[in-house]
Amino acid sequence: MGLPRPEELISNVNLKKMPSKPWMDTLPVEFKPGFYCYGAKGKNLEYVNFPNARDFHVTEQDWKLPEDWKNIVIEGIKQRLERFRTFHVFMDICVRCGACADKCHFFIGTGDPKNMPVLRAELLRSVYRKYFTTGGKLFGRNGGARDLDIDVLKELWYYFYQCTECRRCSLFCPYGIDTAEITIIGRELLNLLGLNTDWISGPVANCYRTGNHLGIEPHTMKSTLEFMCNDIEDITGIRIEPPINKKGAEILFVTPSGDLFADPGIYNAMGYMMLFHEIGLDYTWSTFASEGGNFGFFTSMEMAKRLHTKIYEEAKRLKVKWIIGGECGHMWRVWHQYHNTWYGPIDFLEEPVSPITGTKFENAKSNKIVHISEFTADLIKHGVLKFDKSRNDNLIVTFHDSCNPSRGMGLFEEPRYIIKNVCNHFYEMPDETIREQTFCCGGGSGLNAGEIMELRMRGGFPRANAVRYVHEKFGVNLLANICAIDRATLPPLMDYWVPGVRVSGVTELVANAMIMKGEKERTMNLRMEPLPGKEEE
Amino acid sequence: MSIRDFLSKKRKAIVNKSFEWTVSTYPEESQSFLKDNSRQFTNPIGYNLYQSIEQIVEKIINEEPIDNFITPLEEIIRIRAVQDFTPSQAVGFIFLIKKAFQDELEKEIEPLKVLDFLSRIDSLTLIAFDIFMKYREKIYDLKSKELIDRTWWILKKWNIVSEIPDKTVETK
Repeated sequence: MGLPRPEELISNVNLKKMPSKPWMDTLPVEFKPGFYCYGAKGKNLEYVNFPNARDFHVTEQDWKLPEDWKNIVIEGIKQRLERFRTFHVFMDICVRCGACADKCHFFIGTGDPKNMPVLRAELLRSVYRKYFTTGGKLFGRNGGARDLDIDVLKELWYYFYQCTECRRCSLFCPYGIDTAEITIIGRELLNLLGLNTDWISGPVANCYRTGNHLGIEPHTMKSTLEFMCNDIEDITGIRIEPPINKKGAEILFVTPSGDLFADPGIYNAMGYMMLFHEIGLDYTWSTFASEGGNFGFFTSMEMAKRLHTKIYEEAKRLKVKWIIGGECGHMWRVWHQYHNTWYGPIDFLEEPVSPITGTKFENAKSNKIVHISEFTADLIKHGVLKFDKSRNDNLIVTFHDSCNPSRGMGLFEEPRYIIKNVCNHFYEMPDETIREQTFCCGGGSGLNAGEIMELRMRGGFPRANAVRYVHEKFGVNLLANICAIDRATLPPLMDYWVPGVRVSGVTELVANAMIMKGEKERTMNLRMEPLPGKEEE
Repeated sequence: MSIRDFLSKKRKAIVNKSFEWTVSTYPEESQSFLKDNSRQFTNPIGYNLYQSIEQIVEKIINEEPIDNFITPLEEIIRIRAVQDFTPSQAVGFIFLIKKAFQDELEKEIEPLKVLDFLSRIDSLTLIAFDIFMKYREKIYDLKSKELIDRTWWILKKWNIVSEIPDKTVETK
């Protein structure tokens, strides 16, 4: 019979797709909807002076590259090899032991070998060998080297935008190779040709113009905070006037703009204001430094620095003493790992000391910025805050360690300490999925775009799988975290893999349980849902 | 010997074969990783595939009603619905399970009985297609819901839309 048997059909299709041949021969990559981000718009690239600004359409055959694009990339690699010792070392020392191979959430969730960190890096290493090593020049393919051609370039683009720079792989590398840094450099090189994504380049241009990714202008930010204060008044009976651009305030507060506009981040923003009001903190919001996140970090070091400068300059302009940073992910990576390299220690701010408890935050001696979780945990430790934990009794909570604050800066205990003090029911996910071994949400480093929902779902599967375990075992119904990208990406992830689990920031939980001086009897939580036991009223 | 008695002795072999064939639909370089089905949290695909295939085989042997198959089928299909598969590849693993049964049955059972038995497994493919569509539709739901969550709040706050306030419900 002419028809194949079903099992033949299925295996045939796959044998054709992944035949027994070396990975270098598996080009070109196929751009399937759901697995690649839309290309950047010319206007956004142009606004921040990025090269080759034009509307970039990924699936079009012609990527409208400059004629000498190959030289630009090779010269770009050369400059970065000279500039970043780490990059040079990482290009040379990998022995392909495979320890990182099965640690990437994208590999675990897809089974695509080019999502193994070692092979993703090899995509670029092979090009490096060809143009920068004697072995590669002499032995070519036999020396693991390959020419840079348009198919290779497209492959680099496809896979460097399938890495969330979460650094889980680097934890397991015996040589300490940080594969995220290779992705970072890879994206810098692509950016030299204007090969950016819409989801990253749009926020970068917005942030450069208005101070935040969403393009919220000062008057809108002010009204938004006031709207939130109306809700806070309805819930607590307490009227809060948010201090904005207040010169001479002791502390500047910076948080990702996702907390100002997106559900469930807005409840966290309400929580920050309630907390600061309750302890009488002399702080200010800024409508200029209105973004903690830094999508520039996903394009180039220079752009990251250009966006980061606004916080630095605003602290200077407002003459604050130090800074508190909200619940954000890569904002902390930038502050913690890059800020001092860019600017050196800040010399116009003071070493942070909590005006409420007197605690010196010695860990922030150089950067002068304190994480809201460190600040809150210190308040709790000193008994400054009073809580009615029963207000959170409907919540059975687990905590997702966001990659950047956990793996990037070692912030493990503070959020857990806070949650245990404001909630009665807390359960950890399995050890190999939390703390420094945490699994990414699947949408970090600018990959939380709507058009790649499928990619996000499979990249986030290892995280969701661990949540499902505690959901089934302990009835967990709330996934708390300290990152705005998490708050944006985890709700659909839960909806797909673990329906019945909601997502919140940690400060939202604090504000729900916190007994404020002069508050009315609370019947609603910050989401205006009835508190446990108040359902009938 | 009845088919059921015969198969209950072959259970392990059928499960293992079905699992290995299903894993073989993934890229070659990744198969050895996925075949390790013991790591629930660090290899969730391998673990969940094995667990669910084991349940499906078990239920086929025990002649359970079709509703009982939905949960293990969903486990597998919602994973494959977001992976690099065509729709037919995503649900086609049912035929691999069927083939594993066929290989064993052919050894001892008379052909007509084998045919009848195997045709019942085909019905799982129909269910699998429903499940696949359910999860693909879910993806598009999530996309639209994400957009609404990001914008609806703003429309309400700026009085661009005005909904019936919740309080009117309480006046009943």
